[in-house]
Amino acid sequence: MATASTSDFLVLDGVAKSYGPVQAVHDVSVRVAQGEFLGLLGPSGCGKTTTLQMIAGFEAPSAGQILLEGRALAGIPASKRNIGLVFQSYALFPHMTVAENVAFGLEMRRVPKPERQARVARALDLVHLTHLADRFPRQMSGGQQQRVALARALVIEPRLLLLDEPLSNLDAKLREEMQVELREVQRRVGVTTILVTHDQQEAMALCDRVAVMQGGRIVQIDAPWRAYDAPADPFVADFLGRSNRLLAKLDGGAAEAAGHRFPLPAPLAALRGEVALAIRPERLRILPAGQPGLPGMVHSRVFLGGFWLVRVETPCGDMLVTVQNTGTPPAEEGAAVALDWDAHSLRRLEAVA
Amino acid sequence: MSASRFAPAALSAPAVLALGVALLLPLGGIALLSFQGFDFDKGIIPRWDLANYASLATDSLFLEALARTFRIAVIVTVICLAIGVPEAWIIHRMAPRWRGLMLLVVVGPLLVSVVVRTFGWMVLLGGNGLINQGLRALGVPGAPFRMMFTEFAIILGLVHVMVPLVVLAVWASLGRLDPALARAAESLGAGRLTAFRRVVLPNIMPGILAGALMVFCLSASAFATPAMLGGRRLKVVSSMTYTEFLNTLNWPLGAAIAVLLLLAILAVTLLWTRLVERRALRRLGVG
Amino acid sequence: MPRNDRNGAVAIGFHLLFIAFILAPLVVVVLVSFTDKGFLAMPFGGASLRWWWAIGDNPRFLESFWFSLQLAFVTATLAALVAVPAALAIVRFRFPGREALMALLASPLMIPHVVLGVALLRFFAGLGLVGSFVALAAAHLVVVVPYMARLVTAALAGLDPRIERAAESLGAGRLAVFRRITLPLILPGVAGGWTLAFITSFDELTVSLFLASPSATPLPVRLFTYIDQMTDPLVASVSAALIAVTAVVLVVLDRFYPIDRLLTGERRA
Repeated sequence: MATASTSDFLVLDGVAKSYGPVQAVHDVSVRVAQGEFLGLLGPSGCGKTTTLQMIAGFEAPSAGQILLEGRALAGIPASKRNIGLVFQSYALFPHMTVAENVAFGLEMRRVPKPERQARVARALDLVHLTHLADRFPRQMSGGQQQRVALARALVIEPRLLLLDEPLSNLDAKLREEMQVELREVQRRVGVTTILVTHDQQEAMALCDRVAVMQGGRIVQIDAPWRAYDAPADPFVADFLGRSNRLLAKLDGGAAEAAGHRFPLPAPLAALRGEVALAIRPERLRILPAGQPGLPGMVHSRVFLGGFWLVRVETPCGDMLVTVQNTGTPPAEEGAAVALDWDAHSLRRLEAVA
Repeated sequence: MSASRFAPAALSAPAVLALGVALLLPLGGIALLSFQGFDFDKGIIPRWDLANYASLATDSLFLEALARTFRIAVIVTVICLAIGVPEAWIIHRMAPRWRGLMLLVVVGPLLVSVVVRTFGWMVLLGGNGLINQGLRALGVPGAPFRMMFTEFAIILGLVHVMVPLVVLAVWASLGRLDPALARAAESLGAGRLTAFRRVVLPNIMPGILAGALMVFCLSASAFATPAMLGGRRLKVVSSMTYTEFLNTLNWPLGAAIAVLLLLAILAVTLLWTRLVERRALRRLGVG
Repeated sequence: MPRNDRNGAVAIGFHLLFIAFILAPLVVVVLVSFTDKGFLAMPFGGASLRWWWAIGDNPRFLESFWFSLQLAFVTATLAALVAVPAALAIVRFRFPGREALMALLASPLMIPHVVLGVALLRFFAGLGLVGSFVALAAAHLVVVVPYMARLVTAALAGLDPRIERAAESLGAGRLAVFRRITLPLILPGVAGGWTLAFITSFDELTVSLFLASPSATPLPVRLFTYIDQMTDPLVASVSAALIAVTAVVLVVLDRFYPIDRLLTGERRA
């Protein structure tokens, strides 16, 4: 740590990976601070898992370098990197008990038995599995297996923890519980963590920063709420939650779409011409027809418990609106409505597709 | 990463060495031997020509044995398919507790030495054997029948040895089959036979064809069963090779017979996989 | 399971005939072994154990039995030592020659045993090794390697490589990963392959015929040459003993490695 500042704990510098003619990862550069929880987020085939495998030491980069605590990792085998790894399939050793699974990494480090037992006990306690120490993996639920995998990776006190889609084999409710637990454990242990996931909700819930990847490149890297609020391009806007697109004519300070004129926020005031704007469903308000706003008709509404998801047909295309559930249902299907929003909710999408 | 470049070579070295020395070298040696001459007094003559092959081409005994070998192999294969495929399907449809037991009974004999199995048929088929005793006791006219040392006996014995292989091959592909398929076909109005013919059969065809090839090759190259049930007169190519090597001691001629047998088997395998199996796989959208 | 998934009467009838056909020669051999006559006859006219006791009076058969046991043990063990590393190379690596290696490992299955027999006879005659244990073991190794390779390859292919990666990330080197993770997990496949190789070697006749000598005669060869000269109930009792041993092995084996998986190399039936 003397050789690198805490903000440069892990550095990926121009890392690329190609398999023959196929370029899986292009020029990825990231700096991860010590103790940070970074998410690599993207659809399947975007290069996020390959990037993780290169950090873990199972794939060698074709170009660029990876530095951990200021030291290049190239040439160091996976078994000598001291990087903890949790797989989507958990990859628990099926012929070993929970305790033996967790003890394995310590055995490889020739930790003396009494200390080993103490550390295994502490790790199992951390994930609330002390009572299942003598079970075999196949006798456990998915959530329990997942916690064993976490304990096994943490007990070696890794310099870095890598999580490869760790929660995607769990059902929705359990996944939410595990997110809270995972975040808590990571905070308590303080280990620098990289999470690979295709689930934007998971990345946003867990990570300090997310790097959104597409086609082997990082397209945006930011705090989740900032990336959500100010997506760098239409891909990010769509990938991080739902987004509505609004094609409008800008003429300095104001805009017009389908005959509806509306004000623009200050950063967009100088723009002119045809521009694609984005607005999140929760930033739209449904007003009765006739009120000032973009006119439309309710096409469908779906009840989702905490809120309603309403699809409104407008001259500018279909708009999704989320309406907080306050006990009274929103406008019925077929009803004429108007859509309204605050000017500061509008974002400009860089590229017009 | 340099370790992983040499690892495959190091890992495969024992196998390559063992099979290279104990398989490829001897096969090469026998191929060379087949071009050499033989004299009853002087033994093997260091001569290089196609004389052995030429003499086989006009040797009526050899041609007869060759024809018999392939005739028997074809008949055995057809019978094995005709009874083995339905049997596999029947076992597949049994209740689970019967299924395991019946498969054990059908397939288990594969693990008993062919000598023992064929000896059983000698006991059954002999002139004074159990079948003839039974037929005489029933007063069947013409009994006892001569069954030992006939092609019938060889075929019967070979079917018994080979049919479990067909059951096994078909059983394996039935296991890969989604059990919902046949039901889906029946729900769409197909009768049980139609469902089997139109939906199940095309899907297990690769297993059937692989089983057929295996049975044909093993039947064409079988030695013990034809030798024990066919006697000294009904020679097949395998038993002829044996005789040349261990009785007549004309090794070069025996080697030529062996080479021809090997080439015939390889040719059949190649043609079968190229022409028949590939077409079946293509119908399933594989390969 | 709905009723119409069950077999009909015709199917059951066919099945019973099929089973009768399969079992007939084996049952007959066992029955004949209990005759009290001096020739092949059913025991219903008079049963005895005289032909079973006769096995003990015939040291040749016992010698061959022990010889075959040793040969099968050595063969199966050698096959494991050869096939496990090769299977590892095939499943875990992509390298030039991989396809050729796979073809080489499977090739003995396609070669008629008579051809293999004469080729090895010629080869070992040149080395002066015909009739030796070494020659027979090498020959049997060639015969059983495909079975062993198929089962071990299937076992390895069924093993999630991420389990090995997990072990590596926890600090295990290549050797430790193999010893602690890979080997224990493919052990059922190796044990199944070993057993199948053992039985195949123990039953092998044709190749052995060419390489055997009076001092090195596997049991199937002994039985075959004995039958060639005479068929008395002693053949039946020796055969029945072999059937009994196989049946016991089979039932025990089926407990821990289902026989259809053993013989087809499939991971699941």
